[in-house]
Amino acid sequence: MILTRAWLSEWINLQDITSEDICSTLNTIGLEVDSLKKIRVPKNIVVGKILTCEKHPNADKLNVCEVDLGSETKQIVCGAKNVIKGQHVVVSKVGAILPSGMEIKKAKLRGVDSNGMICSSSELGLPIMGDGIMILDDSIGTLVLGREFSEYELINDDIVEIELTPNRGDCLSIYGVARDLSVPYDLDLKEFNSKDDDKQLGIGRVLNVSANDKVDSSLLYRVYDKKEMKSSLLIDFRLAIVEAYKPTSLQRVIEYAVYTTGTLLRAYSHTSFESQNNKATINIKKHNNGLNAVYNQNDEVISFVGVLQNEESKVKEEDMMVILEANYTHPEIISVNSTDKKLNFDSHLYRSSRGSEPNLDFGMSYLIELLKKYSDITLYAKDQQVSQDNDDVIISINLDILTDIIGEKIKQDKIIQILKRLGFKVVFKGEQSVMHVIVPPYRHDIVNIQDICEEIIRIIGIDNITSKPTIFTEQYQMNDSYHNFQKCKMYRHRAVGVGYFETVHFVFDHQKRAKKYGLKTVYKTRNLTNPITNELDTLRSSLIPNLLESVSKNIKFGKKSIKLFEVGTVFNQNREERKDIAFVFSGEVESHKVSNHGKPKEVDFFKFAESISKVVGSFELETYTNKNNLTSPYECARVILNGSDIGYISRVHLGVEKELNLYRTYICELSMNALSYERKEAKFYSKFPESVRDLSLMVSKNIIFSELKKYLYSIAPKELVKLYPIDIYEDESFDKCISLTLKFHFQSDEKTLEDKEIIDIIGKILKSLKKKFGITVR
Amino acid sequence: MDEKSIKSCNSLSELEKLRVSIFGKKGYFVGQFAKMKTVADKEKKNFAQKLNKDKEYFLNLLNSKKMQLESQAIAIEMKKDRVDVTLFNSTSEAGALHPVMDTMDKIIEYFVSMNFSIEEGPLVEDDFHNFEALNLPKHHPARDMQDTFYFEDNMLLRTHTSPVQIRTMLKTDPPIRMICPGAVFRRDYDLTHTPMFHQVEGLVVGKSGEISFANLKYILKDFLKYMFGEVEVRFRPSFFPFTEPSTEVDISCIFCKGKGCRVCSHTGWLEVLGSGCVHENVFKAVNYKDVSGYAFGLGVERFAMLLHKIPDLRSLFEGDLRLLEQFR
Repeated sequence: MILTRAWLSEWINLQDITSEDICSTLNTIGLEVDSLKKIRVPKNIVVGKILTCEKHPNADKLNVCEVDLGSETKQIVCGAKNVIKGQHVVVSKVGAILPSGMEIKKAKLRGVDSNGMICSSSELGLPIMGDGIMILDDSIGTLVLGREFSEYELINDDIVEIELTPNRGDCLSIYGVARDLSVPYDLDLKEFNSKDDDKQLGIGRVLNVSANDKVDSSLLYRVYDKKEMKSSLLIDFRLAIVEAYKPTSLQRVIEYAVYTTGTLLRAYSHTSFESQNNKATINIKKHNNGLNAVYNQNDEVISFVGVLQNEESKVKEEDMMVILEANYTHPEIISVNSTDKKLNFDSHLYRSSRGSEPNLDFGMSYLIELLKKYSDITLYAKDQQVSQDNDDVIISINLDILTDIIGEKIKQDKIIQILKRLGFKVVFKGEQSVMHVIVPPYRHDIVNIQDICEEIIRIIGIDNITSKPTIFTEQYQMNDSYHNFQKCKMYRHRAVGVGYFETVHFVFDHQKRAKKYGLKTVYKTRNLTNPITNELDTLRSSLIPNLLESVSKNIKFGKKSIKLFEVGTVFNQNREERKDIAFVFSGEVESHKVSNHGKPKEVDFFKFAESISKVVGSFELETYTNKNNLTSPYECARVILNGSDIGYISRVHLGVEKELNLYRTYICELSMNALSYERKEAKFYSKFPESVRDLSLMVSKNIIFSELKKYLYSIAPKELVKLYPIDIYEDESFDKCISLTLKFHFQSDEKTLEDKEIIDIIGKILKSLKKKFGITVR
Repeated sequence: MDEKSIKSCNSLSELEKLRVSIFGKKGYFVGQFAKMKTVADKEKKNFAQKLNKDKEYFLNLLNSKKMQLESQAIAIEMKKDRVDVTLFNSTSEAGALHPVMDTMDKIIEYFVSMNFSIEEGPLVEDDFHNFEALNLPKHHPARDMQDTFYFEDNMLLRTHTSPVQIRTMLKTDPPIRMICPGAVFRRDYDLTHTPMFHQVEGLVVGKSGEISFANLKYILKDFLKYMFGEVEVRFRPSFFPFTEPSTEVDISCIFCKGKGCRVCSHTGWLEVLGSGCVHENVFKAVNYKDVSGYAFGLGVERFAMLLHKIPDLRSLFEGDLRLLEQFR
């Protein structure tokens, strides 16, 4: 909602109040100010009158004008189509600097001298109103030739844009905002008076309105005969400012009246309701869509009250007799029943669904005054009405409850004063501590004591309510969510320590892409109906695709080593939610530096797995082939933590690497739930020294190390505490074998092991290996 | 044997040779002491005294030379490993937390320290928990404020973390002191909106008369000081369907200190929070009677962008290392 200071001033005296102060007050009372802009036309731009206007001798599209600037007359060449002799216009004199920065200089246009420029509104930095130059009239003040245009206060106005919350339909008009603003400033609203002379013919000759008893809208009709329809510069200018400029004069005048008063107003051509003898018949009924509808004689819907009007009934240039309608419907009736998207609702829906001004007489009288002021019309006397008796909303208020909600006692006098200023009526019956408050009809948003509370504190100013700490009973609050938060945070910090960057991606995925990767996204019957883009048309079932896309982007930006992780929600086909943690590592293992001679290695499976174990702790890997097209079948493993499968580690499928232009890239996705957050318990440890032996074994290529390891642990005495591979070596001469070097750690709980004992154990191990796998020492 | 050769000796092996030549079996002192036999008796005492004095002198000389040479040798060995420390690659190889998640942690920590519980809820919600129970009946114009993602089976992606309030109130009795951090979704995608973002929601419920608007003001002011340091806090009346009275909370612009700049649209204020007293219809929906409470909600991205001066919202969701690397 856009307001101007001068427009507001038509309803409230703002003389001694700065625009900045108005903005601050609007904020305080809950009408949030988005911006304050000031229109200031530059100097040397003055009012002029076109004395003569002749065709330019050498140019079809130009005119040569003599312009009276009061103290002088200047010849100015003008290119606008709408320039006519006798008009008052705005002239930039030589030396003026336009808001665009252009300086007006003496010029010769196709051989003719031009001493200034006749301006359009946009050249003056004002909003566009129609084509061509700006034609002045005295709606902006008395036109004095030669007077600086910057002296016209109605043009050099301050523009305030406010953001209205949907409950404040009453402030969707200049009058409504003035009414609310009058309360904190303790100012009276200016009264609006209209006169209706009774000499005219009665409306009954040309219109008959009837309604059935189901109708719950109020409507008021008047009729006039048109001679000439005119808007005014001020109306046009202000509508352009508030971005509500309309193509025809009548539309502009009506829009202006709506914008000023908040009353919904429409104009119909009399002919669209005409039945016989120049008499129109309007019948108002409840339509089966729940809206109130205005019907013509032939039972055709001409308009739905408050939401739309059929195109044919709108007033055209040739229409001489016009029916004006003011209407009001309770916003709830409108919003509940205006769900049929096939109906082509107009801009009135915005107001009617939030609550328009219920005082129909006010809006209609204002409109008629405007028509009488600028246009030539003959009005029919009196009006025709369909009115509803809406019951008053009465709220009973116990002052103690009010104090409890606010947390501070506000004096009863003050409360009454505020409520009365806001248009409420306050009545006491019996107990002095209980007030009965009657809500004004335009405040349909106020239904309970909490609403009243808000009215009081917004006028007092929330900043003036004293803050108070809550007094409460301590409670044990460390639930599962708390522990999950701490656990998640621990793993995230560890990942960061290992060099991974945390990322956040949308939970959406591209169905087509997911399918290509062989990922199963939610069933069609459970998928999104209204995705925001094609690329985000389903929920992700894995964190990996989005992470890979980020890797790809980072490579494009020139990054050589990319380590990312994310903790986030993924969805299975039934759309059940699960929290995963996923890692991706692409390219070089570290940055270029002296220690690696500027040639860091590329990440490989073991480097990657090692980095993951630095985050999640020790785990085992099991050979595994993922059933999707995202992972390489040859570098893929199940992650086994404390005996259970918690996810996978894998190289990205080469096809995907190539498609996304990735470096060598590894991925890992684990279930967050499966990660441990257990308390660690210390175990017994031997006080005697460990002995270490390396053994190189000739092992058949068919043997998987994990089998070998399992076997070794099963046969070795308890003195073998740890064994792990430290090298593999292949040579053609080894035939179908490789040389595998293992490191064995031996330790006893009771004594320091002697060489002989260790040799004994190794001997036994080798014997068993030979027997079981045919393994020999190299 | 002479002093000079000891003093000028510059290797430990040389020194050892000298030591042998002085103290060894065939060395100087053995020879000298052997001469004792030939010395006249009355001279013996003097002779022995002088010899012992010399012996002690040379022993000290050798020892101190040895210590000197040993420390020289260590110094030389250390010098071999001398490095130009400025060759160190000054860029850390650590990763970094995401600014939004890090900000969320910081927010959670405040409220946990104030004895709030953390509550969670599903991202896929139903109309009741997301709208109906929060005093947002169907066709309410305020539903326009939140453009919603729907699913084929009429479920939806939660548009705010508020449904977790409802879930928590339905499963527990008051008093309640909770926050709910998490992702929320709106069908909006432009310079200043992303279809997913994060909120932290708070709810406090006590007996009727126990929890007031003044209490809400207190904790929010305190919280904003914790997050932003010494800032001015301003409360403006506003509207949310689930609270009444409602207020939006601004802080004085942390960039221009309230003077007016581009970030605060020259107003000097930054809007950071929405809050209010819980609407009676919300309590009705969960069948709570004779209670009072307040609720508040904030956008974590907004906080993160302000705290870390991040200019572009969308960059937060792109895993862009050019941004993320700055936070390690």
